[in-house]
Amino acid sequence: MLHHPKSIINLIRNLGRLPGIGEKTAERLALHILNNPSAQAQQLALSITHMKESVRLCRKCFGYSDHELCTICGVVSRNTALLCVVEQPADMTSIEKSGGYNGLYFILGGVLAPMDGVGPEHIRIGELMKRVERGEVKEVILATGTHVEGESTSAYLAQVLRGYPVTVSRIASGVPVGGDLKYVDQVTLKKAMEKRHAVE
Amino acid sequence: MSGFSTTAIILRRVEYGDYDFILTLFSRDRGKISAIAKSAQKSKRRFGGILELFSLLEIEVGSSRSGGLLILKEAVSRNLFSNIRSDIKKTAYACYWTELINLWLEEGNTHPALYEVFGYVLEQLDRAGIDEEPLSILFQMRFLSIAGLKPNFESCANCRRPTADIDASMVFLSLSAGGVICPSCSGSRSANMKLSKGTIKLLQWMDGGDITKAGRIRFSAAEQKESLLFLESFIPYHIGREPKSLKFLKNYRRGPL
Repeated sequence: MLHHPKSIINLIRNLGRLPGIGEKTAERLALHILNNPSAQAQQLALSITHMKESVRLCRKCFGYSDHELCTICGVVSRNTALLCVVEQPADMTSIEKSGGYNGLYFILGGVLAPMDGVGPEHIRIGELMKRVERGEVKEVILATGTHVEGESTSAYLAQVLRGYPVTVSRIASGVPVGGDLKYVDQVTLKKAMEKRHAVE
Repeated sequence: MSGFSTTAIILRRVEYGDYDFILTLFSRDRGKISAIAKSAQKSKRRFGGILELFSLLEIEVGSSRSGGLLILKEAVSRNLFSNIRSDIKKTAYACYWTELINLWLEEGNTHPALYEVFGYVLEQLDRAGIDEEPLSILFQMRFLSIAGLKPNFESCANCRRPTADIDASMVFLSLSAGGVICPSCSGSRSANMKLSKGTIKLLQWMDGGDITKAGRIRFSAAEQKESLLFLESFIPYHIGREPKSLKFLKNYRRGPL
């Protein structure tokens, strides 16, 4: 890398700080940017700075948004009685991509992690309670991860939501569609058997 | 260290890069070890859902060519203690015990007695065999004993006067002196805690009694409260820091939000 001019080295170093990008990939990206028209490079630089300046958190769900309300909370056709609680904005994106949900979201901003010192005061549990208190929500779907922290956070939320007039549900765990049973891990398979449903 | 197989409990799991996990494990045969589980974040087939905190696993590890971190080659679950994670109170207690072990243990030293106690309390916690509070008292007393930090309940830490000869139902204790302080010495040493003689007897039983009969021991609400207060002050004082999960646990006891 040292044989490159200083300006290229600088870009390689900055790109190399991005997740999943090593020195070789950073070098390839830097040379690609260099070899393409200046307008493209300017557009890239502008879109990065514009994103940093304009993106904020949605007032209702705390997802990323360019406006006060995000593209989901601002849509009138969504089912406002359903509220899906997820850990991070990326989880909301995954559920949206599935196309199987038409309700609204709430982003907790993390999970309870006793060993890392993350308690209820560090994530948006208070804000979630306020949202539920407004009365529009009829069902809260707990969609935190299925790891220890995700499961225990979900158990905690179920506990604190007990006093509210809402149905609390947990996303299901089971066999992936198109999967071969012999490749499914034992924990998932056990859960799938426990939560089996009648076929109509 | 060449490859080996053992049973182990996961004490800590840290994401490493985009694909791997670095695990801290408490193994029966090798004590505390660290190993990298390659591609475990992405591939669910190889370790599918079992590399979770407190999981009791049968593992096979090998050494890397460079002689760095051990590599987790295979893992089969023996007990995932699934009921712990679906209950925040159980999770908080299990995290406290796990963090305590992780803080105190040094790599390379085996502690089969502590391993057995840890496995026992996790199992009891998972199947609700014993309530969380007495179970935590049991674990903490056994931990102190194994770690060589056992409080001196038998006699005054200053003048050696037997506790039985102290004419009072409540006995002073000093964290810095490591145990009981008699009334005549309480001025010279910082006697900052109090326990009833009845509670001391229960704590002694929890340390030395038959562990399989621990479920039969009954603590009154007051005895349980003072035992937990004492142990949760004594342990952080003597290991030199308060585990983060203990702070979480104390906050949880005050009531959710």
